[in-house]
Amino acid sequence: MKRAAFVGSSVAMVAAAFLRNVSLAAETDAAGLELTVLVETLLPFGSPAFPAIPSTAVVQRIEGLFKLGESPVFQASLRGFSSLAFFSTGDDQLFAAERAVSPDSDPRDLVRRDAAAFAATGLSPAANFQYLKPERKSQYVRLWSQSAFSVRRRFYGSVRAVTFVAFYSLREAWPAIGYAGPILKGARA
Amino acid sequence: MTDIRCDVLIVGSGSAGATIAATLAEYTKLSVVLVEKGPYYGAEFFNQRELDMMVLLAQNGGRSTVDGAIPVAGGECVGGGTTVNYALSFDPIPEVWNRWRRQYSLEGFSFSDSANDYGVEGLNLAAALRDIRKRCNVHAPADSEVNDNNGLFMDGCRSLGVSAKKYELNMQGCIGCGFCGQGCAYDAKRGTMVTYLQDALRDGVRLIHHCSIDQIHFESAGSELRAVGASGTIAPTKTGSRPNSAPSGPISIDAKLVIVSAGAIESPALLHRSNVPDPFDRIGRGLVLHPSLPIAGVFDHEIVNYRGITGSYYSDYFYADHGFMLECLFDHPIDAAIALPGFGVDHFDLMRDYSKLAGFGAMLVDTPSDSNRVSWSAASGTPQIAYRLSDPDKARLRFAAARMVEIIFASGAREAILTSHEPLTPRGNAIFQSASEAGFCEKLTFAPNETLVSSAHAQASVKMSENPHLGMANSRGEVHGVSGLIVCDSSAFPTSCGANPMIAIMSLARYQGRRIAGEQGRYVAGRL
Repeated sequence: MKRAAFVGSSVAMVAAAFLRNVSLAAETDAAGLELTVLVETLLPFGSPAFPAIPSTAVVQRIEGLFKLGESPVFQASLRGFSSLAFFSTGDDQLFAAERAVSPDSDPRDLVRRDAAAFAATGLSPAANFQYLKPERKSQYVRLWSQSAFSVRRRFYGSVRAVTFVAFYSLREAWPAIGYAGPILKGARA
Repeated sequence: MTDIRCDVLIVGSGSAGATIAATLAEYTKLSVVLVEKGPYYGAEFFNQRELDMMVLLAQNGGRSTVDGAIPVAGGECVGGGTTVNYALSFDPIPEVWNRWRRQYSLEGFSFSDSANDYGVEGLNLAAALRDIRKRCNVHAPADSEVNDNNGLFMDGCRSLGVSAKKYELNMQGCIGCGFCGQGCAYDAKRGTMVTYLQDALRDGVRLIHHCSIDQIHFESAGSELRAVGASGTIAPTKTGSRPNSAPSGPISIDAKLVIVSAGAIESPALLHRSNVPDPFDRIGRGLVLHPSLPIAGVFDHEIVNYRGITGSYYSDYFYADHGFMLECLFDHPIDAAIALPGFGVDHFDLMRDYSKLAGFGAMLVDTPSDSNRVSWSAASGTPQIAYRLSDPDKARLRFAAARMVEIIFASGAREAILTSHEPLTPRGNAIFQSASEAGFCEKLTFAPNETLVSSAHAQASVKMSENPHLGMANSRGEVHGVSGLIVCDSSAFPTSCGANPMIAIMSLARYQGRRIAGEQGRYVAGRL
């Protein structure tokens, strides 16, 4: 818990940069996959003690802050994420993105490692993220957070960061975590 | 089109730029123009909202290494880093400067109070530092100002025999709101915006903010190039900024001396896109970041953590042998949420304990490597920061992580949390349940984007060295092979200055300002 303003806020906006630069394959039927489905996995809406803030409000706020809907690359990335089959394979775009940031990596080795981790979960490669049961969704998101591909971990970290920025900047979220917010009152706060 | 003529153009109003501007105004009659890329936000703008105040940071806080792994924070507003930092003040370390003298053939920078470097009366680093400390009211906080978080850190250190010390802070009249990092709403933090910048303005320096410099201009001067000014763009004034002294639109500035003080990311980027001669491929190379790894501990009781002075204690116990400091600081919720690992219910449960968290971090003095570099990318319009942690630095961070786990348990935590998604413990996470689990830190790989390591101290990307094979600039900060162009900020350090750099940068700037004043004929003979 250090570099307070720096640590997190920086990571938060990294999302936009990544999403502009990196594209994942978009070869699946991801009709209607919305950011909402992923955001609902990252934050436990409806669980005890969770503030009465609907997921749609958080997604709208993400959109307002980060304009992800205007980014075709982000939409393509999201489709790549939603197709479970893609996690065990990858494509030239993914490999190129990975090589750009870690030139010494061997894509075949990375694919092998992700495929093995995927197989160990028992998830079906034919599935689409949005139709998974909640605990299966979490399992799949965890795979991304520990993927052998740096760019996959980055996608996870970026979406996670923009979600937390949008949610924890809401005054309505603070009572649940015991944060009293600004001392300044009145017009400025 | 804004068209300006002046003697000295200074690019950047942070630790270095504002200080050197004020010093030139104090000691000379030169006309000085100070340009700042960011807006001029003052105390009246700082609303203590974590999200709103991200506008104070470079790329709205989104600047990172090219692989997205390490956020590289920097202030991009009047006052630069001094507006958004935690007021942590460390004097320049004589051993570091002496090593630079040996390894980079640096000259001057005497630590003796009686030295007259370059034959300039009273020019030495000791005098420069004394001025800075006085102007910025650098002092240690009182015991009564130490909050729970810092007290717990100190207790944990002491109970393990790890010495902890009070930071010094550049503050005056702090009320302990805990929002140093979001800009001080009370002008109690004595950054350059409220100190040297005000001196400079009073003494006639012209400040133009919202002003990005695209290019430094040169003309041939015999076998050398001479810097003769710069051009750029003034952006429309953003809401909440104080008014500007020039209209938005293109700007061109003729100057006899151009001083680049844009910080260790923007300064090399500016030199790069200005095509400054670089025969030995030095621009941007050897960047150091002070990679920092945080830890949080969960306690059984509520703690004053985000209120009060954010940082009161640090430890340099491991500094000599392992090259890192432990520094106590804390996050507001957005940063805390991003730092804490995981997602879903697990993550929210950690956040529900926010008021029972204590935290600090390890700041590593990283090993310079030529492959770590800043360059300019015309395609993206942003500086590109290529940086990888070296294997020895990763090993030192593993060691630091283990010591942090031990310390936070010694201070009474029931759980210790690293900012990592790596499956370190038998439970497949980075949440430790006892000090005896500290050894699991050995498993940290520090693969990019899996463990959060961050930076707020970019340095050493336009190094000073009398040897042009080792550095871009000589000890005066003059770029080799170019006249009228000086680099003066953290990029000019040959390596890490060894601690949080603000005061060292300000001392360097005060020193160079007094030197330039004493050697005016070297730069602006035509106007004397």
